[in-house]
Amino acid sequence: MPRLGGSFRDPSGFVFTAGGTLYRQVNRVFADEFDACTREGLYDALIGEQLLVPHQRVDLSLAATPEAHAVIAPDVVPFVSHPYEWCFGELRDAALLTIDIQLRALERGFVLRDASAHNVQFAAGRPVFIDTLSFERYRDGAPWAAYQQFCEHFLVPLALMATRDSRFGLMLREHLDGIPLQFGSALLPSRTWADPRLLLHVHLHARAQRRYANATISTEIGGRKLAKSALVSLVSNLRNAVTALSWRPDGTEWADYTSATNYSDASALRKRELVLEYLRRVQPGVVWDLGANTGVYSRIAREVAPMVVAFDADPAAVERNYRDVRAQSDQGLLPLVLDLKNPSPALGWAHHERMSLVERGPADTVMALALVHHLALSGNVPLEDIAAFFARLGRTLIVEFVAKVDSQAQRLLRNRPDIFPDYTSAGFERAFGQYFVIADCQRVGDAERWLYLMTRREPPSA
Amino acid sequence: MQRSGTARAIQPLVAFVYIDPSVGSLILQVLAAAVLSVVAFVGNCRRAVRAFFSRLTRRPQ
Repeated sequence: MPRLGGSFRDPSGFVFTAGGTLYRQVNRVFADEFDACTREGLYDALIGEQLLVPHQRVDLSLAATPEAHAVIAPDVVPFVSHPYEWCFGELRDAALLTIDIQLRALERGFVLRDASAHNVQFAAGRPVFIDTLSFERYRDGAPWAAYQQFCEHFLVPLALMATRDSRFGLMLREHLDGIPLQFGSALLPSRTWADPRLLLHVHLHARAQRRYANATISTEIGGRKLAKSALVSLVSNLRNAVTALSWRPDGTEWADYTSATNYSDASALRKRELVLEYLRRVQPGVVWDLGANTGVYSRIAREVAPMVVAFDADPAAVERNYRDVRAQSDQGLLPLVLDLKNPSPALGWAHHERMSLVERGPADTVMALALVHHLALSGNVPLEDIAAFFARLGRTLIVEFVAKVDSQAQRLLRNRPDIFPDYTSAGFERAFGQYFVIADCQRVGDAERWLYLMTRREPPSA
Repeated sequence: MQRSGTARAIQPLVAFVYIDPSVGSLILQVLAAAVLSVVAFVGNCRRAVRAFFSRLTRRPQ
């Protein structure tokens, strides 16, 4: 029974799949804590508030190893995303979810024993906590062991994104265990020393860490206790620190790109009609919209598909998209930050902890609208390579070809020699024809653009 | 010596923690929580005093 790659650190249990179903095994070493959480209604309360992913307890015979005390079947998250793919708003909402869960747990006499950003996923348009075994009973006087982890996974990256640049969120790709406090403290602008919350939770925290780097805690000597009310004050202050951070998503080329296109109204309308027509023909369950920008066509896809993942390289465009998702309570659209020229790789221990983009596919349908010319003419990616990669990502493809004479394509070539002799409609069809069967092709109104519906020829070799 | 003495004064951690919370983080947490508790207490007192006087000033009306 394959254990999930990222589920090995916690001795209290692990996640595995069997017969296509996802299970979480609870080991005997964690039996008392798990039973207490169940008996005292913590799980029911958090699930009722839609903070924790729901689960069903299943028969113990489904256990993967003899150490099992219980086996549960959690609801499956439709698409697993990583914190380094989240925009500012998504990371902030994940941080607030973690803090709110900690406060709810404390109210009921429990505590979160870790605060990893990887314990949060997005489902039904909002963040949800997925690690059912992250709770244990609160011991009177004990500090919060996950305080530093919370600061490194959430507060430091959020503070950097808010005060420096939103692209600092991508640092979580390099630092899977959070951005180290001392590193974060050094990167933050000096004005953050005047912010009492960042001063306390980041700068002084980093100083304390450095000062006591060689100290040890004796587990035999009791002593000073941290009153529960004091712990609640600390966690509440941490919540205020997160809430106070904000970021305005503007000033980037892509966030305003949709309003700066060169379509006539008729062509724009025709493109929408064609995209919808193709989607209705395919009837996909999951659509990946590559280069989705603020999600205009992702929302059209949502008219047909129950789940759309909207990828874009620009954090500002993704932030706008996410804010719309929250405002409209769209339960099937997930905006993520992803640069297709450098997509999320397999990361972590033995390359198995965090799945690459390809490992999370294939999608039923991939949409690549007004994207190929950027990859080919700006990124110098050969058309055949683009087609090969798209064939690994999805079974059907809705792709737009923008001719070189189009003003947007001309814009990309204005300051450089045209070294792309194969970038023609014939070259495009030849390259994509190696991997896909072209089911349909329509011109987008009077624009120098063509929309294609293609189906993958055969599963590509890995 | 002073450092490890302070560290020892912290309450033992729970049994199943599998992450290193770092000693500096725990010490800061205890100190910060104490300060924040005092701040919260003072804030509550201020609110109580304000509420008391606002009731007093409202009564004649």
